[in-house]
Amino acid sequence: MKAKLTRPAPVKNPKTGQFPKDAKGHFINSPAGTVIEHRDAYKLVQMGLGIPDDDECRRKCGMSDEQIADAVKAYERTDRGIHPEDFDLYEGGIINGYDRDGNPSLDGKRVPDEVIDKFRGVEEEPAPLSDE
Amino acid sequence: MAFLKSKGTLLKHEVATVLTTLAQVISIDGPGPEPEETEFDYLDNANAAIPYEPTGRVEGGDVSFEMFLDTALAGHRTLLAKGITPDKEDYSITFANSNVWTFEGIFKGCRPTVDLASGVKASCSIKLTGIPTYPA
Repeated sequence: MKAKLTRPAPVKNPKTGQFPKDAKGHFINSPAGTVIEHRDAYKLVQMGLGIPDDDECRRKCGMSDEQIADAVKAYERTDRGIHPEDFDLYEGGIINGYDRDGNPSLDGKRVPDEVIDKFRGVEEEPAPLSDE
Repeated sequence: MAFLKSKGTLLKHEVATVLTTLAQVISIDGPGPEPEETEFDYLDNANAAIPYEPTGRVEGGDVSFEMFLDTALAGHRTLLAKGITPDKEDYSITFANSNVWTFEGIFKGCRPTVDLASGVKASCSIKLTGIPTYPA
């Protein structure tokens, strides 16, 4: 049965039985849209990394289109490493990952704390009262 | 020098020839390969210290991890099934700085913990069948 990847992911080369790597030893991702033909391809759909690409896979996964869409959304969130505390920021389109230092980021650029506070409705601390 | 945060680290396991991210992992311990050594002392050794030499073999060790278990989650169900249908498969750890460690192993199963004061967690482990690959 066949499933189509919804996100880039490392896929084993059927000839070598190995995941392809670059010269530095990093995995080379296959692009979204790659068709996986495997007896367990329906599991990719259930996990949210794939959508059915034939009737057998659609039957075996046992999911409605809405359930598949929800699974895809949840997997993307997981694969981006979004922390549960930041789900609101991700769902709101404020962030879609973290930078190298673990700071919330959007397309690789750090999102300023003020933007996050504004989204969450956190009010700035009032300026201290002056004695004068 | 940089401080590498744990947040954002991903543990991936093989499903249908694709490396997929495991959800709700809390902590990862390992891999920690251990080179084997042997004692290399002899009667006419003038030094009091007991010398050792590497045999050239390395024990791959294991990786253990803890996660919040969701028995309805497809990824967790797939993982649990591996514990009763053992096979050698590929795994990887992707750190927050995008560095990836890869290794082959046998999934050794999950042990759930149900505690009034916390969510249901599972402690799981993978026995490495070789040594991990660290990117150059």
